[in-house]
Amino acid sequence: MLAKLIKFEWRYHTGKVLFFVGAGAFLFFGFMASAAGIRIPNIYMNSSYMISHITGLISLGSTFVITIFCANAMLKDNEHKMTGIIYATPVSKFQFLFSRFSGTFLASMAVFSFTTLGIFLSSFAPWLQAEKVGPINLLFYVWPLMVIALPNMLFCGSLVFLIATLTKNRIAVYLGGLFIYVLYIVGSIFSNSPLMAQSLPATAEAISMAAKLDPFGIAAYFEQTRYWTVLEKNTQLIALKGNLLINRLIWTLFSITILVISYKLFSFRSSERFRSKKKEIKKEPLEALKKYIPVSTFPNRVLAQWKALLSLTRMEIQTITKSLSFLVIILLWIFLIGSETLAGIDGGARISPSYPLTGDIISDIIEVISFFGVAVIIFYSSEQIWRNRTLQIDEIEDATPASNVSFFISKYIALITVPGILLFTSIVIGILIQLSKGYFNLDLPLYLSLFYYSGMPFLLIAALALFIQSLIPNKYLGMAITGIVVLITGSVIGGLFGIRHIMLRYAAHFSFVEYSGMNGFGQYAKAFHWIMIYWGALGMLFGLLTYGLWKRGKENGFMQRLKLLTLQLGTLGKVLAVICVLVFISSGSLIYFNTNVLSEYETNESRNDWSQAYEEKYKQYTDLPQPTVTLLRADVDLFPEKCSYQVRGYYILKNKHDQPVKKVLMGLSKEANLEHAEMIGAKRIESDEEFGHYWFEFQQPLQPNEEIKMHFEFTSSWNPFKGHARFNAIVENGSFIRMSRYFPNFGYNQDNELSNPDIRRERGLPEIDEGIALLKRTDSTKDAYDYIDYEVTVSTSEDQIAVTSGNLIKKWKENNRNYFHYKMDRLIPFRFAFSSAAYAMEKTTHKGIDLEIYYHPEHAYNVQRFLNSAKKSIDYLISQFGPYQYKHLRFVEVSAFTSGFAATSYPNTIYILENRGFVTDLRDANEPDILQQLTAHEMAHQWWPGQVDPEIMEGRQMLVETLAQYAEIMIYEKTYDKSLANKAMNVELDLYLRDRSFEKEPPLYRVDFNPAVAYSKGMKVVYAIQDLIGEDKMNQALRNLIARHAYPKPPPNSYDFLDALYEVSSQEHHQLIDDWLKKIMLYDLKVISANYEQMADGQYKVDMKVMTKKHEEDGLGIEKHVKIDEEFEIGIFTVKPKQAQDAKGVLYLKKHHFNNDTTELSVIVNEKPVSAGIDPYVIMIDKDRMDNVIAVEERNE
Amino acid sequence: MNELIINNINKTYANGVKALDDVSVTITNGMFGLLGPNGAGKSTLMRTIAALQEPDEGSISFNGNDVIKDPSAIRRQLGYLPQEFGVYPKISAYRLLDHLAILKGILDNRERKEQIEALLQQTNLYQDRKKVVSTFSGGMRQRFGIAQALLGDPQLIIVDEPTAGLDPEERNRFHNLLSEIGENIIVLLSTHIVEDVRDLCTRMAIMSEGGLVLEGEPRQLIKDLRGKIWEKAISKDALEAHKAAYTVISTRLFAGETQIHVLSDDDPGQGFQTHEPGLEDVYFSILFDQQSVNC
Ligand SMILES: Nc1ncnc2c1ncn2[C@@H]1O[C@H](COP(=O)(O)OP(=O)(O)OP(=O)(O)O)[C@@H](O)[C@H]1O
Ligand SMILES: [Mg+2]
Repeated sequence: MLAKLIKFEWRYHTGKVLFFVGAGAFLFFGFMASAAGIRIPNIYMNSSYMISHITGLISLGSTFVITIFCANAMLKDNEHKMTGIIYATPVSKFQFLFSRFSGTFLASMAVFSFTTLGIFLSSFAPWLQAEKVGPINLLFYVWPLMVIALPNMLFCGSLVFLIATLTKNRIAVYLGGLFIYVLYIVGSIFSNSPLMAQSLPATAEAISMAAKLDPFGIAAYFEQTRYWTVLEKNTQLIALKGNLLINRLIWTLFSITILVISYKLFSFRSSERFRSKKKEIKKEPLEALKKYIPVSTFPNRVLAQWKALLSLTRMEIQTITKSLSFLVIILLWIFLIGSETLAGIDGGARISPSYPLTGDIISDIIEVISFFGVAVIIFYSSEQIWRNRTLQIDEIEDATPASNVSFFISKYIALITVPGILLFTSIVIGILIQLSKGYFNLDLPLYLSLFYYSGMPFLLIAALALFIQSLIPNKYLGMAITGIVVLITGSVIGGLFGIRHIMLRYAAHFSFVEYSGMNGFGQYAKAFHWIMIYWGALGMLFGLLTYGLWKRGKENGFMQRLKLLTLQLGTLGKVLAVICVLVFISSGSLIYFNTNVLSEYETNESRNDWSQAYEEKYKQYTDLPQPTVTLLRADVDLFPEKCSYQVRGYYILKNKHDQPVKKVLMGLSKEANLEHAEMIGAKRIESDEEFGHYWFEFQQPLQPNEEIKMHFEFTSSWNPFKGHARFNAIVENGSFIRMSRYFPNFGYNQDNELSNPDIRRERGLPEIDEGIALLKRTDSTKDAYDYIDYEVTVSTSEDQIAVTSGNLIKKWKENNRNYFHYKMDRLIPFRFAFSSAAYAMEKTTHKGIDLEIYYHPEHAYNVQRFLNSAKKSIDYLISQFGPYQYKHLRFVEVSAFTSGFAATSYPNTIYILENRGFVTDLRDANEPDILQQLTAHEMAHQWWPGQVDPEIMEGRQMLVETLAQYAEIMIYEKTYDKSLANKAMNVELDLYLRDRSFEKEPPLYRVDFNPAVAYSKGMKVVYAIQDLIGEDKMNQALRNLIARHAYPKPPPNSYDFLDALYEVSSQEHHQLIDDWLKKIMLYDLKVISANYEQMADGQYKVDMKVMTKKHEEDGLGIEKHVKIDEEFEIGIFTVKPKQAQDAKGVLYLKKHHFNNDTTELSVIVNEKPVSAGIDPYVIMIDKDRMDNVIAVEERNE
Repeated sequence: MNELIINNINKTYANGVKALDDVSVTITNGMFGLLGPNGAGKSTLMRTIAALQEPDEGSISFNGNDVIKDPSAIRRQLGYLPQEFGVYPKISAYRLLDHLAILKGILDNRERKEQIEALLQQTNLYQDRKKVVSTFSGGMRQRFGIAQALLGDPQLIIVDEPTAGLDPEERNRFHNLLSEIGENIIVLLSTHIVEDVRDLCTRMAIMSEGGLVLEGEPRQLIKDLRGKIWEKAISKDALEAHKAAYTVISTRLFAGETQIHVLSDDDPGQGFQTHEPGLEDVYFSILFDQQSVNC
């Protein structure tokens, strides 16, 4: 019987279109996520790690499937008014529920397993390279399905099942499903889950907690695999142990409990108890009977149509807003937007919070609402079209003389009211959050602009959704199609199908505009207006068609309505349609002109083609001897309001080679247009506009050490329809331009090459292993620094200040423009940038250095703190590393239209992004002070590489970033205390362990661009060396490095740094220095047991058993045990382990020497110990730092 | 004088059911009753006249306006009560009537209020006017439906089974209301209750399987049948034999016995007694004819 019933249910589900649509969709998701999704170098796309990852992520989407299936299964009787019949059959409650649930569950599982099939098939995708695909192991596919997806389905299924049994209401079930989803996302935000791609990893405690509590097990999966090496990622199955096992058990039990509860609560009788009580209306005495008299009607009058429209609209809006589903949606939304906004401000537990700026809040809203709003519109658009039919009031209304225009418009208005209310709610929440944080600078006009920038796309999507719903005869199919159309034309998914051009992306939804506090919406607003006109015309056309095809009455098929289309539209409608088409075409032409005609439209493909062609044509000139720039003079005119600039200037070029130079290959970035170029004594013989290369030939070859002059003139501008290059952001306010990149350069430009090894392989280009020169000992005594004499005059608009490197020697006003003359009094590298904005400025002098800070007047919060942090940094840097080389030090705020750094250091000038530091809320003294960290780091760059500019080869990043990191943490520790410094270093440790396995890991001394190693591991390791040999000796070594290698002495490389360290330290430490800098060493230090007893003299004897393991890894994760022979700190504390790690309650702290994997030791202390640890402050690179300190137990014999 | 002319309309549903089979009829002021068994096509015909669905063939005109080409013309003068209908949730009776009155084009606020109140009283819903319609009982909801059909100044009222679910008192009230207004306009009503037609209608038609099988004045139709209906009470076992021997148009249980009506121009004898025909006999005799034609 039961088997039969289950079979019946199975047939019911699998017989529906939805089943096939769902299966197809999951097949597609699985395939795409795997075939076109994330790639990690060296990790197979069909490794267990990747498959589990994708399965886990997509299993979130299974919520929707099981919700719909469950609603169908549990409510089909209700909705078809069959309950009376079904419930009266002899099927028992158990059989009934069990079969319904198993049917739902099996069918959902079946649909979801198509994901796995999709992932499986993806490894056969023809465009993949053999190297990306590892050996096929079926277990890799099935295992995650069992361990991750199956319990997840059970979890979602049991919850929606409970809701279905309790409420017997479809909407409630759907909302339940949505609620699980939203709850999950919100939970992820707060638990700082790796799912959210936070820039900073969560603390180990938080990760362990999340791993247990995440009902989808994804956090547990991440916890287990977070430190996996490349090798493990490729070969290892996730293991049902530890937190993952606990997690799966907890949630499976939870699901079963919920199912049992549902069973208990289910009743065959219909549920009245969840309906609200009806209000009693008291009877009124009957008045004298009025007589019915016909009343004349004037349905043709405009007033009547208008009133009908109003009445219909009111009715529609009321019906929506009075429903339970709407209330729940609004609550969900408040929950979602509130937590998103708060999370955005708080920035997680490990960095400082920001002030709740209106600009940041609206950016959050725009981002979060884009998906939610669309989902809501899709849901309500189907309601709008189908509601009256479902309610069966359609015949009555359709028989009235109210016009189709009124019906259509009222439905449309009510539909767009919903996102309107969502936006309004977000604004209220935003303001409340601002007020609650004691922030009163509410920018109401900016809030209101949301209704345009975020609301306008909703208007268009609503028109599209109604149009599709009116065409498609099935509500759910209509919703699915609308969803697919919007996702494909609007979101990144479209990119997979090549839909990237703005003219193909309907409504330009999903964040076209960006907002910056300094620059507002900038030039993008203008493009947005045009794009809205363009899509608005199409949206209007959709509206007209929807109206023209309006379905009134019953049984009027599509063909019938199509026949009536022109009649229905009438003359006005037809004229409007023609106007729409004309507007669409003309605004489209304008946009096309801007995107494709003014300059070539670029796709990824065409860009790659270009790079390949460039390499093939010019690679041969890599070693062609070229002259070097030694002097630069330029007039730079910035036109922020026009998003353009113009440069006129000259170089002095010198032949630094031993042989004469005959031909010069001048190059110019694609961002710049050459207006003029003239080299004295040389003729331009060839121009290659395509690649921005120009050949000059000397009449008399340029002899060694000979110099010549070259004049040039170029312009650069951008167009909001196409977007701007992030480092060439000439914008209305807060421009930042790394302009040295756009000045003429010489010789083959390696930056133009394709760097992605996969793409190179695809295109048959030779592998580039020498992306950077291999580290080798050099004894270059010649002038390896290509430094220049730098002097420029920069002009900008009247209300702005322009800043670049150098001393400001003059400023004046001319032709309503501001001019600034900057001159460097010493040579600098060929590296300079410009910024321009309506700045406010604050300055002070410290140790003879002029400190200046240029900031956006509205971002004045931390100006004094910046200056103080700078002073603290200067004190340390000068006293430890030697004098500062310039007179000035400037901090300059730039708009977030630039990105890619938090701050960037140029000679005597540091540019800082507006949303970093300037708006950090430092009112709470206990929070970490990222401002001090940032300032110290950037200022340290004035020494490293400002004074010691290492050779461009492997290891350069160690001498640049690692040393800046070292200075940063030392200054931070001096300014605050060990506890905050430890916290900062723990963040780095977690970052290193999390990110290191995403590519082949180099040892620190050979590091190239690899932040996990250069920044994170670097800070830890150099700090550890300092701890080993002492801060004095460490800094002595660094001073020696400067003394020997500062300009104009020959530049250093990693070996020189190592030598400097060996020189100051005793022989016994050299091995460890090598271990840490030249190898990949990981430690596993832990206290196995610790207990104490009070001795006769009142002192306490602590006995500890500790484990001290150490192993070396190759870059891919193959481990080798290393015998231990070194010292670690042993600490005994009067506080609990967690506080002890915060550097509190020290009773005993001393280094002990270890040479075994496990050691027993005893320590005598004066007070009663609470916890004991080895390396309690985690100076070593330790994979598990939580077990370094444990509580001490009293020994009881 | 209003005039609704229906000419040869046909309708076949997508599932192959022929719901209207060459229906032609002309209706003028007065109450017009439509009788017919379930599935005969009454509702289909009424919806077609109300321009809610299009016939496959044929034409309909109301006071000279082509209903199919220009549905708006008839909508301006129509009051329509569908056989089944629903309402907006959480909206009171008064609010909903007001809304529909606005859709019908009653511009004057005071007039609208007066008429709505009158209708609420006439349908005995006045005391419940602030109640949410979706919580109404079946009969109350039906009365609400009648009230909304009368809003404005309809020249054609189409009511599909208006009396379904009404208690005898309310049915009576309804009859009074309709007969009052039915003199100067067309009221087209379908029903299964033969008395409704007998009591109210000046003209009537009987539909079966999509076609109009009989049309006329109820009184005349009854008169035509006088002397042809014979009645006899028999035991249940004898029914088959009688059915074989006579044209049994209806059987009915009465006080435990089976009463049969037989159509016959002459006295069949055998204990049959003459019976004064009612409209019911007209209905059954015509359906009997129809069935034997088809067999
Ligand atoms: N939308 C539809 N699609 C297909 N067939 C339909 C549809 N509506 C009605 N029918 C069929 O058309 C025929 C006539 O239906 P209609 O509702 O007009 O009958 P009726 O005379 O009003 O019956 P009742 O007395 O039961 O209300 C029936 O056979 C019915 O099954
Ligand atoms: Mg009917």
